[in-house]
Amino acid sequence: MRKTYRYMVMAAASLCLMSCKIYDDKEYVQEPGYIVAQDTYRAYVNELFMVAELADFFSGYQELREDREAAEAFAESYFGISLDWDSCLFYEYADIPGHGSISLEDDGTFSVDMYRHSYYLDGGVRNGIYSVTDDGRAFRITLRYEDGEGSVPTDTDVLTAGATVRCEDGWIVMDECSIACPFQAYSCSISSVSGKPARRRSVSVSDTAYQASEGCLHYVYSEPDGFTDEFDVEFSDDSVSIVRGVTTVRCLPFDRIYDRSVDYIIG
Amino acid sequence: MGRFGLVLYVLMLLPLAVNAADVAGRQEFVLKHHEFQVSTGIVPGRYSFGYDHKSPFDHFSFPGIYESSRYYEREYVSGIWSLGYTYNFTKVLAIQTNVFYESGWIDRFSREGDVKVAESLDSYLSAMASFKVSWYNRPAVRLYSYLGLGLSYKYGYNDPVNGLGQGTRIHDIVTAFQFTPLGVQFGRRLFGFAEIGIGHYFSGAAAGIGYRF
Repeated sequence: MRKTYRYMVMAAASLCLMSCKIYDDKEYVQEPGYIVAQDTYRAYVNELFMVAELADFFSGYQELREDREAAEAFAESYFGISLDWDSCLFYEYADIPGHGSISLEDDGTFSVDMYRHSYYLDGGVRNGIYSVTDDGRAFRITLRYEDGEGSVPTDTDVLTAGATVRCEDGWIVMDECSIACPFQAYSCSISSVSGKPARRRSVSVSDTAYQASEGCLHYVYSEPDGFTDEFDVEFSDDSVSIVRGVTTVRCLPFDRIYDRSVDYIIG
Repeated sequence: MGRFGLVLYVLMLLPLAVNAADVAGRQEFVLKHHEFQVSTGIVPGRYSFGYDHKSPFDHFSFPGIYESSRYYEREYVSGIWSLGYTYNFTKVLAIQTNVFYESGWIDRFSREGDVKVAESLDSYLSAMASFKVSWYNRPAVRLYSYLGLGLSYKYGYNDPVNGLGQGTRIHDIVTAFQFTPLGVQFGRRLFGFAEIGIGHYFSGAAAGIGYRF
């Protein structure tokens, strides 16, 4: 019985010792550049890819639009979805759920509305619309603002964006890109890197197309107090790398991260 | 060792309890009026009151995440510790009193120079009286339940970033309760025990040792 008591005391003492321990090492934000790149990619960069995709689709659709059956088959094949096309696909306008709406203008250009960039300026709402010009080789995309009266605002504290994008062989290739976010709390500019165009697969060949698979974008981030951060974002199929000079932080791909506190650094 | 280890320990104690019950089955229960116990919460062993650590950082907006990235934190918990005294009126009815303590704190460090720049603390020192019913009594095994009410003195503070020691000290008195539907004691004069329950003393499981006379 004495041995029994000894074992009980030993077990109870061990249990007591286990109660006092470090609970957690918290490092909420290990690489802020990753968060900047992730959020701006979702809000601004991927949008340019999607605008080019819509323009690519609608260009091809124009050649088929008289043959309704072929046109609907083409639309289903491109986006991989089956819709009531009678309610969303017209000769000079299409509204594809999850992708945006596109209009054919009188001058042969496209206007694409992604339903995202609206600002209250000067007492009215200004909606961001992408103008797309097809020069035969690539789509030239420019974000402009309409206030219902057709005037263009001169305010500078809104998003500006433009890109030159090619769609070929199932890829969307962003040869040139310039995005500026001059917001009150911070400003961020994103630009293409010569010789390393960002490219991602088109939805016409991949159901899960989101993050660029190759290429690079250059970021300059700054805050009103003068703080700046400058880095490159390099894309691959299985990672995103934040590059500052000779230092590279390899992180999980954008589409796998939803929680800011997840440990996204992988190398 | 983690929760798997805790489960292993509890399972180790069960054969001892069975052995004790086996021996005790041949003898009669003898009431001892006084018991002293010391115990700790084992699963999860923290968060009975919850901690209200207010982070000085905004982790979800761009200026905030850059400031966040200049610091890191370490969170600690003291565990739950209790000293108790029980008076057994009869072999069934008893009053248990205990004083227990738990706290959690966070040290915040600047990556530059690896210097501590802020602290955050929540601590609770509580006193509780419980009405206890022992509904299975053998010489070396007892099963019981209890329901308790008490008061807790809460002391805490949250330092601002780079303001070590500057957080407003908070003093408060809050109520505490405990419901333990199942506890098991095994042993004679010197005994071990394990309980499961919910409340401000512990929510989960607790274990300890005691002495009765």
